[in-house]
Amino acid sequence: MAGAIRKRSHNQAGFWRNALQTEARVLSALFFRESETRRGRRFSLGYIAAGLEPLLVIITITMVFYTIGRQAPYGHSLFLFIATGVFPIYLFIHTSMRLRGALAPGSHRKRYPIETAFDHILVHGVLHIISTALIGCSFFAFLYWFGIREALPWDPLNALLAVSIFFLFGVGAGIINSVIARLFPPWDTLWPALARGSLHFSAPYFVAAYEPPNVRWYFGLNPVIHAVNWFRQSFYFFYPNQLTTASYPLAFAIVMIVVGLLLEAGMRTYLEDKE
Amino acid sequence: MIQLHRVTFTGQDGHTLFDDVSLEMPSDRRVAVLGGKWSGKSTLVQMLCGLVKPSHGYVDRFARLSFPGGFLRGFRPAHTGRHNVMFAAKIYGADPDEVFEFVRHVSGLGDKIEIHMRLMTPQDRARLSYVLTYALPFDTYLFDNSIGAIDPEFRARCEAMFEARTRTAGAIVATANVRVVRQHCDCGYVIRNKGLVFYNDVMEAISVFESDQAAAASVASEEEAAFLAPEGARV
Repeated sequence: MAGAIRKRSHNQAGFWRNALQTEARVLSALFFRESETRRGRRFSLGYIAAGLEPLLVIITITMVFYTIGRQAPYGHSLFLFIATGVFPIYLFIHTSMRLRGALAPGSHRKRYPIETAFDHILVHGVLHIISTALIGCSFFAFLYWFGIREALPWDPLNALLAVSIFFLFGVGAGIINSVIARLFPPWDTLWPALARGSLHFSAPYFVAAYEPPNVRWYFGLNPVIHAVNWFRQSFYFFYPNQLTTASYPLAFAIVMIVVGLLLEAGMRTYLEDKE
Repeated sequence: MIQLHRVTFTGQDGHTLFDDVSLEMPSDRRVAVLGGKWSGKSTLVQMLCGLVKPSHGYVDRFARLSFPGGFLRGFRPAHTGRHNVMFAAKIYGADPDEVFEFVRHVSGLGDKIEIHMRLMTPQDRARLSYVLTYALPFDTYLFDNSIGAIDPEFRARCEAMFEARTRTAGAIVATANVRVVRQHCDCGYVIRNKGLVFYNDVMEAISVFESDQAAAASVASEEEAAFLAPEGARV
């Protein structure tokens, strides 16, 4: 009996070891392939190109604000203030857009049986984090080197936590979008426009807490604003914290992921048959 | 060994191909799956390798199963043949350089393997995918309809690779081609009445399949004759 149990546990250990080895192989191969791919084509810059978009937005908006003589709504640097809003919001937007590809119509038929949708979601998510972190850290380091001392976060762990929330938002929105777009294909075009448009209501250029109380209440419903404020508090020691509830965006992100996964799992067979 | 536990598969049109099938399929033998048109051969192969999920029930795989031989859907058309081959080798745990050299040499593509897949001819893509299947190490190789086709010379090469691989591995060949089964398989299943019937002797499986096919053909010809008969002659 003991021998049988030992044998069984040994077999189970072997099974898990094999499964983990296979998973690691698939993830690493996918990681290197997808890092060189953009819209299905080989592109040497790959994901780094996606990280350049927020940089362009920051530079353009800062230039416009400088031209019209607008001061930084908080702190000394307009560049830093806008960057602390735009970078994390773009992490959310790009994650929600690119994760969609992993669950695109018919995608389960366009890969080897050993690759799963989960592998693709994980790899695209990690690639987004890395590309955004590379561009973001380089940009903040450049600002610090340029003499803006606030560009070095005084609480890096808090900044990392806030960024993780944006990433979870992106994952949840990406999974939900994948289901909506399979039921309503124009959603693929609508969502990027909606997401980029919503950027302007998530306090990248203003301090939400300085708005009048009746307006602030409406802003308070937007979980992205809470996460932006959370991220900014890692850079500005006295940043106003009226609209910074860590639990609200965290709960929102978790609910989005759970709803997305349930939707996807519940409708998978229907959608695959339909496609 | 591959276990099917109460597997039912119903297609999009509501037609049930397999109904409550439970069996243990050997993964170390050369197994034929014989079935006529629309009997569910391709669906079975896709269920075995995990490309398609059963409507009910589940499949347990106690062996490393290949993708269906000549599988093209894993390729990225905008990537070169080299990149696609090396990616497949990496995810299936083989030496990418070794697999690439084997595929380049045996497929006869030469330098054409360096061009994008979308620029290759369909024949070249098929050559690449069949040789890639044989180049990767699996416990059981799955084939849907063909073990390698295109032209007689390449077919002979594929048959030689099939023989070489199945000395140490198993294979499951789903086909209606009796010649292939007679030549390359040891035992077989026949798809009958939305289920699978096992025959340890492949010749017995072939004779059952052929009699099923003859019966189906005679029923079809009778139905056709009744349909074509003049109005007054119909009862």
